[in-house]
Amino acid sequence: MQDLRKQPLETRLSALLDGEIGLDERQELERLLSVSGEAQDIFERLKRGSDIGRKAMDEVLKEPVPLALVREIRNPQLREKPGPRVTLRGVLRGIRFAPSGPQAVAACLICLIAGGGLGYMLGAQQQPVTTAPSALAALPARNGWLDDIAAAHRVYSRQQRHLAEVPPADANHIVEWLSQSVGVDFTVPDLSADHFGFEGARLLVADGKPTGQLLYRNDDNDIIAICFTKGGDGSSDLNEIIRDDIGLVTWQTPAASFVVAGPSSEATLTKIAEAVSGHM
Amino acid sequence: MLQTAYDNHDIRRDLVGLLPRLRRFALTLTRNGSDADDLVQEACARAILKSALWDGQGRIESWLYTLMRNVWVDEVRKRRVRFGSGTVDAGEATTLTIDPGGEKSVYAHQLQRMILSMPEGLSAVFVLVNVEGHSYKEAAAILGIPIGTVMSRLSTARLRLAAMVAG
Repeated sequence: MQDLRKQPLETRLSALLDGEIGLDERQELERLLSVSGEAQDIFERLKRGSDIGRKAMDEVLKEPVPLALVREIRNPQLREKPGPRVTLRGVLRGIRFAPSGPQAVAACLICLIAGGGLGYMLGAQQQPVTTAPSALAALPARNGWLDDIAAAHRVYSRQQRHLAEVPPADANHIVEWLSQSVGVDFTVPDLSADHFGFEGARLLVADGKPTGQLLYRNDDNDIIAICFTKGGDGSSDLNEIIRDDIGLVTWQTPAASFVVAGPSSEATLTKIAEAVSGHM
Repeated sequence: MLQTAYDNHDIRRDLVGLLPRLRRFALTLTRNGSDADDLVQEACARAILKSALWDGQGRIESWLYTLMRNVWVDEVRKRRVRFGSGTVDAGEATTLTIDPGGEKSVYAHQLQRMILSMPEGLSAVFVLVNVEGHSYKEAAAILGIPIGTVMSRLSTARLRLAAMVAG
């Protein structure tokens, strides 16, 4: 505790109000308060200022927080400091270009052979070039797909009475129906640990592909959706994206692409996506 | 493997939950809403980048407030260099023009403006100790000032507030 005896009376009485005072000092001030009108007046003013200030500043907490601030905090690009950026210019600066005579001759020969070979192949080309179907072609065009998921969530999450196409009581039917329609085997995840209850499901068309949407609601009436479609590249890393007011956490398996969609201010989206990605 | 005491996911969740309080404390430093939101944004960005430095002990808001105060001190220093002067005090508080029995939100809003218009340093101490319940020692550490200064600023703030309403 501070020795307050050299402090002005109002500072000592203010410390008494906060209990930041030793026993001797407290007893001395309480004695003073019992006999001094001036001390009583100061003490009352300190208490009054304390009360009205506290009430006024508590009101600040009721003001809405700008959504931009929430988005900035949840922005996945904001991570721990990366290492120094490796640039092409930096790499080239580090390379000293001073070939010896034999090296220069060898480089010329390699260029000659490679150029000749390339020219021969181009000249001999009889058929138009076709691209073999790749794994990427099987994936949904991700931006279009995610944009459609965000748009669907924005619309359907406001449908309080008609949130889902099939109610949660038909969970078995939902699994059978969406597995066949979308081509992705799944079970309905239980998100009760995160205080979200299952509300049913919809079949969406996102980027021209059938997409399953499982809907959940919490006590605050926040709606989140787990969406999935056939085709993925197996990159299981979670990626978080924000589309205006909608937060999207995506991941993929070799067979399917998944996204958890919800309000961008919902702090538990990533945690839920982690749990769901381990489940599905 | 060395694990950080606090991963990014956790701190993001806590930052979102603490936003109203972070904004309130920022207001006491900047004393205008626009600067306060900029300060919160910058402080949160630094908190995420430096989350490994948070040891998980004590109140995380104390760490965040200290970080925010450091960011604001830097900003004030930059402004001094840029404009040749620091932030300007909003001036001495005037008296209330709304009756305490009048519309509650208007009354509270005017009181807030008056608290924030108190000379620099008073409202930050007031919010930390009187509103948020930090000890004098914690408030002194957050604001980087001696405990004696916390005590004198707090009593001054309380008496000024009482005078504003009485006036």
